[in-house]
Amino acid sequence: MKKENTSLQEYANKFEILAQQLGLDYFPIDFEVVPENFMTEIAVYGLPVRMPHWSYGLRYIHQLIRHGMGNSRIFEVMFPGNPCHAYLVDSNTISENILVIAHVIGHSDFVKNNHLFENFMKMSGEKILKRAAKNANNIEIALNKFGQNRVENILDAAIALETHIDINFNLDKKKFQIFQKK
Amino acid sequence: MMPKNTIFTGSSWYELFSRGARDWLRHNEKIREIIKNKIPDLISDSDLNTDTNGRSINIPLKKLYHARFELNTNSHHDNYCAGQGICQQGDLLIPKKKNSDSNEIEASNTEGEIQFSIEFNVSDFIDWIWEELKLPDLQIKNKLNINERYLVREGCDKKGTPSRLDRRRTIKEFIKRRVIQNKKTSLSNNDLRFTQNKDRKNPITCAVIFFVLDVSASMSTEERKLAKIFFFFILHGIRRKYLTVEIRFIAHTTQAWEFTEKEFFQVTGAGGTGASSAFNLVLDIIKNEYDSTQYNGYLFYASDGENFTEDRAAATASIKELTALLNYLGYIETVPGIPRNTQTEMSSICMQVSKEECSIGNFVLNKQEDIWKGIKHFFSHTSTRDEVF
Repeated sequence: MKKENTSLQEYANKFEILAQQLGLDYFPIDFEVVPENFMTEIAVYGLPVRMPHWSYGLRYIHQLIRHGMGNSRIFEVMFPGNPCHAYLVDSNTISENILVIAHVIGHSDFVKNNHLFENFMKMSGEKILKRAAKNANNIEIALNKFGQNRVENILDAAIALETHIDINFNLDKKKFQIFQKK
Repeated sequence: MMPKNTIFTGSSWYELFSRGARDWLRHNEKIREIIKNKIPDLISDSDLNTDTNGRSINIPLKKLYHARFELNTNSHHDNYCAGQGICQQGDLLIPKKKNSDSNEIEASNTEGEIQFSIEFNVSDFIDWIWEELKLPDLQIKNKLNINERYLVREGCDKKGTPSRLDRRRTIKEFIKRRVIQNKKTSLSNNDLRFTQNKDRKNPITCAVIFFVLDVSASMSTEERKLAKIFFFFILHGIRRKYLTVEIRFIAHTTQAWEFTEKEFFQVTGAGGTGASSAFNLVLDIIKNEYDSTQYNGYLFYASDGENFTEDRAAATASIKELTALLNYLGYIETVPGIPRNTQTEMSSICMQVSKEECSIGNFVLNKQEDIWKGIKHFFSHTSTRDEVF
C-alpha cells in the first residue's frame, strides 16, 4: 500500500515535468486515496462533506446497486480550487490511478484558465470545500435544533431553486427586504 | 515555481462514513410515511375483505423527486406569471383558492401524468405495524388439555411404510456399503431408510377475542367506517401473531346478534342502543363455551358512546361481570369530526367501572389517523392502560 503511494507520487512528479513541457498552467492538486465506499459518497453528494438529504440516499443506493452489478465504476472525482482536490480509489489498479492523475492535471489547467471558474473562485474564495463543509455542519446543527421535518422542508425548497441559479449574477446577493430587517 | 501535486493516503476513518445509508433510510422512511397515511383511505368499508392472504393493493405513489418548477400547462390556473411576466422581484406567487368543484381540478391535474405505483401486500403492511404490538396482559393458562399436539419429521429408521421412504438417504447408505464392500452389489433391503414422525406437544396460550360493534341508528357511516377499519387491523394483526386465538363478532342495537366475520364487516343496522344486550350475549358465550380458567378473554367494543339511559344500570352490571372474566376490555369511541368535551354515556359507565380497578382501557377515534394511535394504545404495552382514567 505504502509502496504504491510512493510510486504514485513518483508518477505524479513525472507528469508535472511533462505538463510543464507541454505548457500547461494549472493549480496544484491535492490527491487523496480513499476507500471505495467513501468515493461513492463523494460522487453522489457532489462534495466530500455535504448536508444530509433524502434525495442523496436515493442516488446513493442507485449507484451502489449499479456498482454491485458491475455496471458502474468510479475512477475520479475532482474539485476545482486552489489547490484543487482530487480523489483516487484505493482499490483501483495503479495504472488506472496514474491515468486519472494525468487527466486531473488537464482539468486543473482548464479550471485556472476558464473565465467562469475564475469568476466564481474570486467570489467564493478559493477554499470551496471548507466552506461547503462548514455549511453542512450548520445544517446538521439546525437539524438537531429544529427537527428533521422543518429543515427538510426548507432544503426541499432550496433544492427546487438549484437549477434556476443564474450564473451571470454575483454569487453573494443582497438579501430580500423581508430578511434584512434584523 | 512549479506547482506541487501531493498525494495523501485516506485516513482510516473514511471507512466509517455512512451518510449515503443514512439518507437512504430517511428516503425509505418518507415512503413508509406516505404509505401509512394512505392505507386507511384505501381500505374503505366497501373494500374490507376478510381474506388478506395474497391480496395486494396498488398505491399510486409518485416517485420521490425533488420539488421543481414546471411550466404552467394547466388552463385551469389563473394567469399568474413570473420571469418576463408582470411580476417583480419579491412578489409572492401563491395560487388563488378555487371555488369550483375541487375534484374536477384534481382530475385535470393528473391528466397525462405518469404515476408510479407500488404494489403492496396488505399482509406485509399489517406485519409491519404489528411487529412491536401484542395482546395486553396475556397469561398462560394451561395445565390440562391445552397441549397442542403436532407431528414433526425426525430421525430415520430401517423400517417404515413405503410412503415415507427417504430416497436420498437410502442411496447414500447403498453407496457407503458399496465402497466398503468394493464390488458390484445392488440395492438391498438393508439400505432402505424411512423417515420417522415424532409426536410433539406444545404448551399454548388460548385466547378468545370479542369484537362488539354498535350498529344502531346513531352510528353513521363515518362512525361505522372508523370502527370497522379499527377492527380490521386488530383482527389481522392478531391472526398473524397468535395462532390459536378465537375471534367472535357481535353487533347490537337494542338486541345483539352474533355474526360471521364476513357479515360483521358488512353489517348495518337501525334502531336504538342498548349496550347491555351485547354484553349479556358475550357473557352467555363465555359461560357456555369458554372457561375463563383456560382462556384469555378480550373484548373490544366500538360505539359512538350513546346508550339509553334506562340501560345504564344493566350495562354497568354486565360490564362489571365481564371484567371479572376477561383479561382486558377495550372501549373505542368513534366520534368523527371535532372532539367533543362532553362525556358520553358509555365512557362514563366505563369510567365508573374502572374505578374499581378493572382492566378497562378506552380510546377516542376522531379521524382515521387516530386508528394507528388507538391500536398502539391498546396493544403496545400493558402498563399504559392504567393511566387512561
